[in-house]
Amino acid sequence: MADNKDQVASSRGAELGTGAWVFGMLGVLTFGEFIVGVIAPPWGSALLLVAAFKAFFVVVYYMHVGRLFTPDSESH
Amino acid sequence: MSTQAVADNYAVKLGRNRLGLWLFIFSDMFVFVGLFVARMVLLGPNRPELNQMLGLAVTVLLLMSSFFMNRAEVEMAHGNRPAFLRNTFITMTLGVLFLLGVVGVEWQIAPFGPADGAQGAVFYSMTGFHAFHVLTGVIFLYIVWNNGRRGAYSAEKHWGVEACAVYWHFVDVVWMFFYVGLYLMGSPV
Repeated sequence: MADNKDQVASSRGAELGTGAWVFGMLGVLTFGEFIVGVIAPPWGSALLLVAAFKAFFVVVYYMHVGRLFTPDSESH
Repeated sequence: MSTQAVADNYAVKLGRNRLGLWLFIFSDMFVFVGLFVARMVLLGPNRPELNQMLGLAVTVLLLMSSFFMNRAEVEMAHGNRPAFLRNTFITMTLGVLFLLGVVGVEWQIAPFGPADGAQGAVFYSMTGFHAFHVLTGVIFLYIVWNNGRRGAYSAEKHWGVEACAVYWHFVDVVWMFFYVGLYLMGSPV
């Protein structure tokens, strides 16, 4: 029973940690985009690649697209 | 009906719900892609003259809202209702602040109107259509928050929370591209 509670707490902590890690990375990339867009506008088009990279992480880690292929599980 | 049969039935419904939601998101995405293509064709290497700091601020607000939405979903998945309600409320508040930043401030201070040529048409249609999605997302969040307050979700069954989270993150993903297209790409007109 205690082991099960520990597992649940550990799983929750890991999921929250992943969410925080993704958020930190998105924040750094967004600030990088801002700097490039303001000081070097000709490179702005390349920022679409950065946006696609950010979108990939949101789709995988926040939107959990993988759940589409494992329909028998609830969201954790 | 046995407990196992009920669980199987719920799993089947959950799978269908997820597929339906993703199909909706995929179809909705085409409208945003169309708007982005219109921006590329009409403005080309130029961009509207906009307040960069405000653009960064509203983008960070939306990113933060996605972070708290993720937390809300994780907390509900582990049966922690108070934390779910708290994080959902923060997400909702950040969504409203984003709307105020774009519609309440950026629209008012932009040096052009919706009828002022291509940049006006592009800027107001892109931000307007996106803001409408944010508004519907905020309403969705309120409904989920209110249902959660009344105990409608559990760790085992919380499809409403998951659907709301996926929709909210989709709105965030769209803005990631719109932010680059409107604020960062090309030279100011």
